[in-house]
Amino acid sequence: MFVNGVTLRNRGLPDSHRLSVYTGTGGYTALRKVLLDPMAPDQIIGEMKKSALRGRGGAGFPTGLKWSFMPKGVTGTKYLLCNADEGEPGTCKDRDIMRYEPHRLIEGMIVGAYAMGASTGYIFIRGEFVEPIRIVEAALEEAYAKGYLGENILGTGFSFDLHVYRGAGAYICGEETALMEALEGKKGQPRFKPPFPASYGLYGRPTTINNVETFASVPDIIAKGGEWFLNLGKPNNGGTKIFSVTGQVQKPGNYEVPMGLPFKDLLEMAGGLRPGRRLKAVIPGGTSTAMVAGATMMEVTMDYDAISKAGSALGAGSVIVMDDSVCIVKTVERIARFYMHESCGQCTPCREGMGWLWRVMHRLENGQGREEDLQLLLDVGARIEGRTICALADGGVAPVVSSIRLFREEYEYHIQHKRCLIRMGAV
Amino acid sequence: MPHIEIDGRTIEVAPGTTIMEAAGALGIYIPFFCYHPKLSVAANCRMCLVDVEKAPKPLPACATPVADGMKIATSSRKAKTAQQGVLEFLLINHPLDCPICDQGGECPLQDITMGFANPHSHYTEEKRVVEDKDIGPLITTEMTRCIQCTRCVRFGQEIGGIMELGATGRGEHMSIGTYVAKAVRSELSGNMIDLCPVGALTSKPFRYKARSWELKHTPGLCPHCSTGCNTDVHSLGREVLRVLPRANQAVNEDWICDKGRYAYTGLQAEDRVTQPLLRVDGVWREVSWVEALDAALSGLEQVVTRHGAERLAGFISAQSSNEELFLFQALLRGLGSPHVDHRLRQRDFRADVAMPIYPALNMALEELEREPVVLLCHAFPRHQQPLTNHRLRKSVLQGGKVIAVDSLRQDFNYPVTQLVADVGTDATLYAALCDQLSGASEKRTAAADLADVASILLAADNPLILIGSALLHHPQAAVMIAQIETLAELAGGRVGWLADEANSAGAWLSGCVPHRLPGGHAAHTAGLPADALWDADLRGFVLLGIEPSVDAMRGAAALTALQQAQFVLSIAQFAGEARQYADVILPMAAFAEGAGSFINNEGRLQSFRAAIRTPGEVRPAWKILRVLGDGLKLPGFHFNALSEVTAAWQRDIGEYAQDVPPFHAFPALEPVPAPKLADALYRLGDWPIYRGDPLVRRAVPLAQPAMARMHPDQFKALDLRGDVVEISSHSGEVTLPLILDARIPMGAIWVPLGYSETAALGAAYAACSVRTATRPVAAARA
Amino acid sequence: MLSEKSLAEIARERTKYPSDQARSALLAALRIAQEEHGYLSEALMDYVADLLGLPAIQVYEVATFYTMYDLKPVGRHKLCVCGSVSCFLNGSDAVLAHLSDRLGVGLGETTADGVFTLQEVECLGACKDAPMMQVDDRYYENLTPESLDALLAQLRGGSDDVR
Ligand SMILES: Cc1cc2nc3c(=O)[nH]c(=O)nc-3n(C[C@H](O)[C@H](O)[C@H](O)COP(=O)(O)O)c2cc1C
Ligand code: SF4
Ligand code: FES
Repeated sequence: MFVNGVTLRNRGLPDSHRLSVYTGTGGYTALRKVLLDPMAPDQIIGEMKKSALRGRGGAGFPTGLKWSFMPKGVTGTKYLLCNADEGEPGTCKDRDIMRYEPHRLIEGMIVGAYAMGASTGYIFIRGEFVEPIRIVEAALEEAYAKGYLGENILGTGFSFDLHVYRGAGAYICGEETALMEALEGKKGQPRFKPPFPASYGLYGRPTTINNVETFASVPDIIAKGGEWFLNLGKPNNGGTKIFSVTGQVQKPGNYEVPMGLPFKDLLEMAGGLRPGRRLKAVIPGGTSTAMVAGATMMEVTMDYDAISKAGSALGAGSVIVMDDSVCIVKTVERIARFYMHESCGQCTPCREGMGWLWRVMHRLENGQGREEDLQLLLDVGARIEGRTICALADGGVAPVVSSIRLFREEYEYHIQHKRCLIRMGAV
Repeated sequence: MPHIEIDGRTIEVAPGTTIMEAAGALGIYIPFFCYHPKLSVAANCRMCLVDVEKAPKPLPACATPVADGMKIATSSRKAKTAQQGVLEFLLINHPLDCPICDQGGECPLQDITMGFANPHSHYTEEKRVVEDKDIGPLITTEMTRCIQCTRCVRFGQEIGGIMELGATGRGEHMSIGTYVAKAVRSELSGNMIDLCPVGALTSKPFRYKARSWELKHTPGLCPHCSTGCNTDVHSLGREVLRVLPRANQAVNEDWICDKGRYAYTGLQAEDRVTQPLLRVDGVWREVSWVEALDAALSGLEQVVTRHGAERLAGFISAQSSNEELFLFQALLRGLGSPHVDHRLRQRDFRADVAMPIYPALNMALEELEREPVVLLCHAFPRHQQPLTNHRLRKSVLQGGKVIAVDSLRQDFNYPVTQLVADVGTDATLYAALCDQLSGASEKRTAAADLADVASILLAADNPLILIGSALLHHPQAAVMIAQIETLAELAGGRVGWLADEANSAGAWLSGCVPHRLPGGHAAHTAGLPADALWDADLRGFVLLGIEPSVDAMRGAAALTALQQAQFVLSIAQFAGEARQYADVILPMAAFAEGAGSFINNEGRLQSFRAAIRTPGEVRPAWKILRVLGDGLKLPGFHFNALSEVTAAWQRDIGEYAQDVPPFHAFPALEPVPAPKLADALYRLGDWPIYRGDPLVRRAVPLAQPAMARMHPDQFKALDLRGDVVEISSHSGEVTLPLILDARIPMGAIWVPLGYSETAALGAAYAACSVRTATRPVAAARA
Repeated sequence: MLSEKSLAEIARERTKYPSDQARSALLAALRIAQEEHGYLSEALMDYVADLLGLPAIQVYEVATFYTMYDLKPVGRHKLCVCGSVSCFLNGSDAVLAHLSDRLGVGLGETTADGVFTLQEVECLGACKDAPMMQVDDRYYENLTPESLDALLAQLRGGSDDVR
C-alpha cells in the first residue's frame, strides 16, 4: 500500500524540514517545471482538475475547480492564502506537515500563485503553533535565499511574496472569510457570502484559500501528473489523504493512505483498540461531523463519498475512535462546550443556540436531565441548522443530534438514573 | 434586469438588488433587526430568513441578491419556522422587562414577537446578565436587553465616523459597549438610540419620563444650525420629552445631531421667564402684560423722542422665524432706527455691499455628497452643521477630496487636507493660495502643501468653495471674502456659503441687516452693524432671543453698552443675562412652543408648528412684536393670525432664488493689520458646538466646561505649570482650565466664546497673555 | 510603553502588509506588547491603538476576541491543558486534577508565588499525542502524572528556558 508517500513522505528523514533535504528528495522540481519548462497556468489548473484533489480543509471542494474561479486579467493584487489554523478537535495533520515538510507547502503555494496570478500570499498559522511557525518562517527564509520566493523567481519575471501570519486563538479563524478578517486585523467573524473570496477576498481583492495539506499535495501532482495522483485514490476522491486517528486506539497518529481504504484497515494501522475493548462509535472527520456507530464504520471505506453515504462527512480526516469505555453523553457534552466557546457570536442561532445545547447537555450529564430534554436538543438543533452565516453552528449541532439518534438509550439512562451508564477511567 | 417572484407577485429589479429591497418595493414586510438601509449589511440577526425555491436552506433577505427567475416565499412554512426559531433564540437571553423598558411600545423586538413568535419558550436555563458601563449623560445602556444586531457599532464606524461603541468578547460573551467606562462624544451619538431595535440604548434625559404611546408627536424643525433638520417633537402635556429625527432624505436623511436632539432639555432651565418682568427702582417684579407693555412702549418712545431714533438699535437672533425677523425690522424701522442686525458674532462688515441677498449654499444638500473637490474656508461643519458635514463625509468616502483652510487644525471625522495659517496670517494665506493658482508665486518652495492644494484645485473641474462661519467672525473677513472671490475665479470654481445659524438666510432676506430691507433691497438709510454700535453710546436697545454678553463677539463691550443704555427691552426666553441690564423683559415662546418658518442653507423654506402650549404668560414673539407695533401705532401691524404675517412677509421679500450670485462687487479693501504680538499670544476662539444659542447653552446633558487649549510645546515654551491658566487681554482677564492640544498652532491659545466664563476676554483674534494660575483648579472651575 | 526592540518588531510586521493596511499588524502588535508586559492593560491597548492609528475600541474588540491575549496578569508560566475531545478521551480531566492538586489552585487561578497559572483550553491541534498541554511557547504531549511532576519541578527549579 502507498503509505505516507505524498505530503508526509520525508517525515522520517532527519532534518526533513530543511531545504537541502527537500531538494535532495526531488523538492522544487514542480516549481522548476512550471516556471522553466514552462507550463501555462491553464495547464496547471487542468492537471489539478485531473488529479481529483479535493480540499483537505474539511469541505472537500475540488481544488482545480476552485483555482479556476480566480478572475483572470484583473489589475491589482490577487492573494493566495494558506489555511493553517487547524483547530477542529481531532485534527492534527497540518501541524506535522509544517513541522516536517514546510517546503512542500511552500512549493505548492508558489505553484498555485503562478497558476492563479497571485502576487502575495500569507500562511495563516494558529498562534499556539509556535514551533511550526518558527519552522515555516525559517523555511521561507531559505526559499527567499534560493530565489524561490520574492522578485523575479528563478529569473522568470514571476514574483511572489509569502509571509507567515500568526493567529491569536480562535477556532473560527479556520473559516476562510473569518481568516481574512483576522488577517485584516479584525475579529475573526465570518463574512456573508456572496460575494465569494475569488471576487472579494482579503482587502476586497480576488483571493484563493486552501488548506496546508491541499497545497502540500500540489508539488507531486505537478511533478508526477494529475493522473498519477488520481489513481492513488479512487474517482472523484483522488490521491492519498492524511487521517489523524485519535481517541482510544493503541497507536494514535497521522496516517497518509490512499483514499478508499477500508476503515478497519486504518484502525488496524493505528494499533487497533485496547485489549478487550469493543468499538462503540467513530467521529470520522473531526467533531463537526456526525458520529457513526462502530459497527457501521467497520463496513465503510475512507473517502468522501462512502463516509457521506454513511451519514457523516470525511471533513479533515480526523478520525476519533471511541470504545465501549466511553460515555457518549459526557463526550458530547465536552464537544458541545467547544462550540459554545468558539462561536464568534454574530449569528443569533449560533450565539444563543450553542450555549443552550451545552447547558442542556451539561444538565443531562450531571444527572439533572428531564424527559423532554432529548426532544428539546433535537428541536434546538433543528432551529440552528442551516440558518447561520458559516458552518460552525451546523458543526456544533451534528455531534449532538447524531449521538442522540445513535445512543438514545444511553441518554435516557442518564435521565432516568441521574447518572452515567459508564464510569470513565483516569489517565 | 432580473424578474423575480415574491409571494406570488412578480417584479423586475436592478441586478444586485437584495430580496429585502425587492420585497420593500412590493410593500411586502419581512421581519428584521440588524438590517438598516443606511448601514452596511451584517446579516447577523438572521431574522429575515426567507424561503427561496431550490435553495436548500432559508436565506437572509437582507443580504441575498436576487437572481433572475428566483421564487421567494416570505411566509411559507419553511420561512415561518426559520423566523420563529430565530426569534426564540433572541428571546432566551432577553430579560423581557417590557413594563419597565423605555423602548416599550416602539420596540421592533416587542412588535415582531407579537407578530411572529411561537408563544411558549422552551428555555429554562439561566439568563445572561450583561454589566453596564456609564457611557455619558446622553445614552442609558441596559445591555442585558441587547440583541447584538451591531447597528450601533456600524453606525459609529460608517456614519458617525468615530468608532466609540464596539462588540467586545466572543460568542455568547459578545457585548456591545465602550469596554472601558468612557463618555460617548460623537456629535451624532443619539442616533444610535433610534437605531437600537430594543431598549438597550435609550435616551438618558428621557429615562422613565413617559411611555411612548402617551406622547404627542408634532413635526418640528431644528433651530440649531443652517441644515434645517426635520424633527419629530414628542411631548406630554406641556413638556417636550424628546426630539427625534423626522426622515427627509433631501435634508437630514434619517438623522439629527445631538444638539438638535438634546437641546430641548434647556427648556427646563431655572431662569426661564414665564411672566413679564419689570424693573422698578432696581428691583425686578413680575407684572401683567398690560403693565409690561406700557413700560416697554413708553421706554421706546422716550428714547426716540429724547435722543432720536438713531440712538436706538435692535438685535435679533437668527434662530428667529422669518415672521419674527420681518416684524422685528419693521418695528425698529417703523420707530425710525436704521440699526437692525442679527450678526452679533461678526467683526468686519466692509464686504456688506458685496454680500449676496442671503448666504446660500447655492446647491442642494444632497448634491454635496457627490462633490469631487471641496475647499472649506474657515469652516468646521462637523460641529457647525453636523448633518451637512455628513454629506461631505460621504463624498470623501466615495473618493472625493476635502481641503480645509483655517487658523487651527480641526478634528474632522474623515480625511481632510488641512492648511493652517500661522497666527494672524489667515488673510495672507488666502492671498498666497491665489498666487499659487495664478502662478504668480515664484517661491513654491515656501509651502509644499500650498502648492499641493493649488494643484488639486486646478486639476478639479469646477471645485466647490465653501465659506464657513469662522471666516465671517474674523476681523479680516471682508478681505478674505474678496480673496475667495479671486480664488474661485482662478480655480474655475463655485462659491457657496455655510450659513452661520438656523435662519441666517431668513434674517438676511427679511431685512434684519442694517443695509438691506426685506427682499434684499437697499435701505434708504443704512444703519450700523451690532459690533460698531457697542461703542456708539446708544441710548436704547431692543433685543430678541439673544444674550449679547455671550452671543456677541465682543461680549464684554456689549454688556457695558447695554448696562449704560437708558432703556433696554429684552424679548427673551431666559432672563438670566437680561436681568443685568434690561428694564423690561417680555417672555417669548421658546423651542417647540411657537410656529413659523425658516430658510435653510439651501434656500429651502420649511415651516414648523407649536408642539406644546406656552408656559405661564409666555407669548409667541410674533404676537409680542405685533402688539408693540400696534401700541406704537406703526402701520402694517394689524395681523390676526400668523398666516397673515407669513403672507405679508412673502409679499415683501418676493420670489427668492435658490441659486444666488455669491458676491456683488467689492469695495476697495485694505487688510486690517494683524495685532502686534511681540511676547503676547494670539487668542483664537469660536462658538463650540453646544454653546451657540441660549437654549443649547442651558442643556445640562450637553454641557462641557469652558477650557482653553494650547499646543504642548507652547506650554513648555512659556514655562507654564499645572492645568489652570490666567489669560488676560486688553479687555479683561479670565481663569480657565487648560488642555494641551497639538491642533492649536504655536503662538496661539484657543479660548472658546459663548461662555460667561470667557466673556471678559473680549473678541477672538486679538493679543493676550497667559500665565500659570495662582488659584487652584477647583476655585477656577467654580 | 514599548521597548525599541518591540517597536522594531512591530515595524517589521507592518512591512508584510500593504501600506494602507496597518490594521493587519494589530494581532501581532498585541502579541508583542503582551510578550513585553506580561498582559494587556488598558493603557497598553490604548498605546497600541495610537501606534497603529486605530480607534481604541477596535483594539479592545480584538483583544477580547482571541484567547491568547491576557487582559489580566498571569503567572510566569501558563499551563494550558487541552480539554477537547481527543485529550478528554485520553484523560485530560485527570491531568487537570493532578495539576490542580499539586499546585493548589483551581482553573484560571495563579499560584500564590506567581509562578503558575492553570487553564483549561480547547483543542490545540496535537490530538494524536493526547493528553497534552501548552506551557508558554511549548507543547508537552502524552502527559502522565510522572511527566507532569517532572515538568513542574523543572519549571520551578528556575530554569525558565524549557525550550
Ligand atoms: C468553523 C470552520 C472552521 C474551519 N477550520 C478550518 C481549519 O482549521 N483549517 C482548514 O484548512 N479549513 C478549515 N475550514 C474550512 C475552510 O473554511 C475552507 O473551506 C478551507 O480552508 C478551504 O481549503 P481547501 O479547499 O483546501 O479545503 C473551516 C471551516 C469552518 C466552517
Ligand atoms: S455560525 Fe456561529 S461562528 Fe459562524 S458566523 Fe455565525 S455566529 Fe459566527
Ligand atoms: S435583517 Fe437580515 S440577518 Fe438581520
